[in-house]
Amino acid sequence: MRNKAKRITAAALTGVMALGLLAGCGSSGSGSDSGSGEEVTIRLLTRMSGTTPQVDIYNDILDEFKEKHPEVKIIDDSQSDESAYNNVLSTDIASGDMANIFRIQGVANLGEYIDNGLILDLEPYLEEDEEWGGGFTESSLDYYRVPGYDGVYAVPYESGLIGMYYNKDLFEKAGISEFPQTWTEFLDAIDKLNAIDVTPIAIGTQSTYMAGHLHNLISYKWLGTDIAKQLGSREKSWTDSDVVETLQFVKDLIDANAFDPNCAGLTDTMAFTAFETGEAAMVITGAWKISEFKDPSVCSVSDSIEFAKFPYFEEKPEYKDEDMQNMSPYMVSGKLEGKELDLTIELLKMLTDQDATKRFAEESATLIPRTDVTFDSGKIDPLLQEVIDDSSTSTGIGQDVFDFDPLTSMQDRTRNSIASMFTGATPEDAAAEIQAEIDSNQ
Amino acid sequence: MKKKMTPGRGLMYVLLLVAAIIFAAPMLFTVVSSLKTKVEIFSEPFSLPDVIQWGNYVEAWTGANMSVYFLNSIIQAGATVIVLAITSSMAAYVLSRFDFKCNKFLMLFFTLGMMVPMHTVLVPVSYMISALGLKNNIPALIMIYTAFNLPFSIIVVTSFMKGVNKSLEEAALLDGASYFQIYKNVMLPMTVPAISTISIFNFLNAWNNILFPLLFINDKELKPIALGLLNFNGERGSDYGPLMAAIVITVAVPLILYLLFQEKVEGGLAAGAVKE
Repeated sequence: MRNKAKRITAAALTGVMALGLLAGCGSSGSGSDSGSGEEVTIRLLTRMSGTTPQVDIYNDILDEFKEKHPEVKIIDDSQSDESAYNNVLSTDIASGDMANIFRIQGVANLGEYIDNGLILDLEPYLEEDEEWGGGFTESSLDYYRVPGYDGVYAVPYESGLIGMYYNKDLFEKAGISEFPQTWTEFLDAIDKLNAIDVTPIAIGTQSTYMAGHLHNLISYKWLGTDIAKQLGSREKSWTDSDVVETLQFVKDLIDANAFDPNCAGLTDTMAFTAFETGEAAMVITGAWKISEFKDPSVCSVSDSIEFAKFPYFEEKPEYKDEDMQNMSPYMVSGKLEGKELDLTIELLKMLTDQDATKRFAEESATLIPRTDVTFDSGKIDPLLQEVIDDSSTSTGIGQDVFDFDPLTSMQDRTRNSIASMFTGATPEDAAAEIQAEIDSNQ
Repeated sequence: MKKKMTPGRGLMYVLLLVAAIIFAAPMLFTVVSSLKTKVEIFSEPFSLPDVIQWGNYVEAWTGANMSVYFLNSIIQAGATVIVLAITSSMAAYVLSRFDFKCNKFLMLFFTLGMMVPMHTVLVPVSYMISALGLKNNIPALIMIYTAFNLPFSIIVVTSFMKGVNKSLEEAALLDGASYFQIYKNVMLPMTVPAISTISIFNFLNAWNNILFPLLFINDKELKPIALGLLNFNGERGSDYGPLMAAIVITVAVPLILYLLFQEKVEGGLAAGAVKE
């Protein structure tokens, strides 16, 4: 009798425990119901999150879309933090639940996504709507023509030259009247800046992308922007003598004391602070930093900052205007159809059309690469105007050299190996290390 | 009684002081940095602020929506603690007091649960949540937290209950109490130290968890505080002053709770370690 009672109680208590666990399942929720009936859900997974003016404009556009289409539910899953973004993206891919609009960095690696039908070819939509599609710069759309596939697989929502932001007053103090145009003049300017005890170039290679960007600029001026595609297709290897030369130029700058001797221990923010407080004369970055450079509460030298393209090599005048530009893309899920697809394309257009371009440029100093927008001269920052003007002279554009590499590990490999030169590695060591990564994956 | 100072004891105090400084320094650095401008944080990292920037806290609390995230975290972590306290104590009562066929197997089953790393089940859990339409569903999130913290909670409470004297329970039984009454009126009050211990741990786990809300909560009004911190870490640079202020706000709650319940936590952990 006692045992029976015990058994019943045990079963009852276990049951209560299980019910407690399952209780959560029963409550009402607001799950995704995309594609069902009239209600459509559009999910976005971008890097547009946080507290910047650029994000505010992006949110305004989402609100405008919501007002226009109250029947559409917008879920903005955007993550500003890179690792958080990658976590969500990789889980989406693994569980087959892709966002309607998302972003993947790189180009060559898109082939795998295209094969699995995860990314939509946007070329028909760009051609269909001439007003929207015809406004993008040709080079920016060409960038998203994936080697081996027909079509355009992304539209850019941000671009701009990566170049040298420099402190005009420090240059004048060092006796340099204008920004060096050539490599020889550049090395000469570095010597003069060192002579007045100013760090010539602010860099923090603990944030390895800074070392990577320096090498990108040198590579494009020495070998042209096609080098990225040639390395990605294995037409060239990292241990080829001319590629090693690009790494040697980085080493030459290190040997010329162009950087803080402790730069290997510095982060990007520390490097930018050195530039913004007048301790360093130059920094390599993109237009997104302009609003910070122009804020006197953050940057004490905001009136002295100017922009110039990275110097070219006298021996290679043909690559004078081969430039590095950053490009941030929006991709659309290849799994969409019907009303959901139409509404997603409509939202994509709102995020990248003429009105959006004007707002982003005038209010947050970020550029969507379109040729059909006229900015109000009073509203656009002169520094940004300089970047826009210089962008128009580019004969070729490239992002990171690993962008056309099918190996996703090349982002970390190239940046880490280039950064290792700041702690004593030779150009040959760095080249061999990068090439070994490719060889071991073949 | 005052203990006599010996060279050994003096050395111990010095080592403890050094350890205390090592552990406290990052927190102190964060608190000081939360009152500085971004330029000060990076140009003079170890100095005190020239002008105290209370604005960092205001911006973190209002501008970055931390007030909403804070409340969400309190609700989510609080509910997790309550559900786990009830479920684990019920399971522990059965496992520690009733001798039935599956008793040992169930104990082993829950122990095995502790050995499953969270990341290995991420994709299947994510698939299930999507398939069941449970994204942005707080009870579902609490259920996931509960599932992952249940094994540890059951093991701690079961060990503690095994050490509770059976005579009280027998007395209650003789007085005609039902098993549920015994659980509610005898075992539960006797197990408060163990439940306090697991509650602190469960609260911390739920409060600090970033992965599950990152994947399953995308409604800005439902996000917890750990996700809110990511708002300050942008693609184009980070807002360090308000970020440090937000970190201080985030850490303050678990820190205060731990200090309040420190003795019970340590007592609960040690309980059941020795068989009398």
